[in-house]
Amino acid sequence: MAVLREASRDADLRRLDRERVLSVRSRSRSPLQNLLLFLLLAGPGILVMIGDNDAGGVITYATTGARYGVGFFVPFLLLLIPVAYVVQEMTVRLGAVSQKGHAELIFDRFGRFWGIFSMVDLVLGNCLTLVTEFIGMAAGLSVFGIGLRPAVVGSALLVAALVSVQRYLTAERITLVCAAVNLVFVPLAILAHPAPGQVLSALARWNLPGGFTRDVLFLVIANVGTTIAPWMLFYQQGAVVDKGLTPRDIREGQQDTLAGSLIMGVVAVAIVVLTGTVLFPRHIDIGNLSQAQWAQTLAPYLGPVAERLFGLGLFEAGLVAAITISLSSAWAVGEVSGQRHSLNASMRQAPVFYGIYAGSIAVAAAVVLLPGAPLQLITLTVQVIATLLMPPALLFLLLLANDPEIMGEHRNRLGANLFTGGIVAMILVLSTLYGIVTVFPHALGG
Amino acid sequence: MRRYGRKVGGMDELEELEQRARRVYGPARLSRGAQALMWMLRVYVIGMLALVVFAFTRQLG
Repeated sequence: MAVLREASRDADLRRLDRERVLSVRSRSRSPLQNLLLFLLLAGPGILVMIGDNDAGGVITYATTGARYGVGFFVPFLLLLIPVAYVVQEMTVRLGAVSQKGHAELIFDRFGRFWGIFSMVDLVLGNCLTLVTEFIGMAAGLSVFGIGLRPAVVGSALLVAALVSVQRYLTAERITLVCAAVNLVFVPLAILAHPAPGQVLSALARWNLPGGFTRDVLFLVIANVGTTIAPWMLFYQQGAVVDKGLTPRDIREGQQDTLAGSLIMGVVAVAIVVLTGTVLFPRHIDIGNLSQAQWAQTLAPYLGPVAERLFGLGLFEAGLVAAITISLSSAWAVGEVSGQRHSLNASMRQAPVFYGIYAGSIAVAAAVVLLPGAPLQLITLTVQVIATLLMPPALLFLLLLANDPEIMGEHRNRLGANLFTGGIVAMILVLSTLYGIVTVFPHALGG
Repeated sequence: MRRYGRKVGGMDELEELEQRARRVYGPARLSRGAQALMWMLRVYVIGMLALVVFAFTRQLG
């Protein structure tokens, strides 16, 4: 590798990565070459989707299964796979074509107010979400007998260490290896010995025992919110740009997003099946279980190995989410402030980018260690902020993906617009209902 | 420094990307439909913010 000059380090590294891609592209298009090309270009899509199965998401799915079994939510989660794919696929095209991050495009095209609104909302929401990720990581490690303080400090150092490599591709590959642990929930679900007939019958009948109550609404919104979150748009577009994907790579970017959506859906379904098989039929009260208690609750029925696997999965969920969420903040702030923002840049070149990444981790870890921190209020605020940001973020995404000046021939087709328009409308209705029910808890008669 | 990247349509692929990255987009020219959506968005954000403020005030009260 050529000696890297400090001033052009990020550009030089990107050139190096492109050379690899072009070298594979120039060879004959055999299935093996196609696979090699996919492996080279995949990453942002898989990571964003696995990052989305975060510690809060794992608990949401577990709660869903334990309360309602597999009946309603397994088919519902399967329906959310295409939703996640269609939404995230647009960020691939936007990033590859414009070579700009999501925050920068909103700022440029819709003005200072919406640019700053989106960025502040994102960074604030991300900081608070990070708190829940650290709680999740600590809960996962507690299964292995690690105390709160060493767990949180160790996790924070691990998350911070990842970007210290100052190389996009290396950081991405390491995170992908960590993310593979997310699949641990699949063997866990198999360990629970679910009745295949019950799962198939849920798919065929899709009924909701007890009707559509306020609690169900909360879980529907939580599941939708867990499947598509605002930070995901900012993360994937930022990653596509930082990785250096070009319009020629859109197809592989789409495959990467599809693979990620499928993994996310399979893991989500596995968690619902797990608790829906073990806890739901036994009517076990999951009232106010802390994250750490979930693994203990499963242990009497599935054994200590399952308890440890659940702990490991919870830790991984928090870890990968902490990395991807912090990166989405760092990219967004770098884009809007006009500062250098690349994982290929050195810390001296991009102090704002690395500062935001490290700062948000440090703040979140400190909050978790703070005695008497209002963690419930934080969780509620996270949901409120995500609810506030999601409709604007989706609408901007839709408008940007249809912008002929930016997208040219890669702009949205009618089918994608109709589908995404429907999703925006659904999110808008659910968010409004959620806002109303939060303030007026008896609005739905619950 | 070696120059990487393949000539695509007479232009180095990476140079093309850097050109794209350097491009500054001005404010979007929104269609009437998009303008209506933006107004709906403003109403939504103001409404939700009012709800949040109301909820927090009630909590504090």
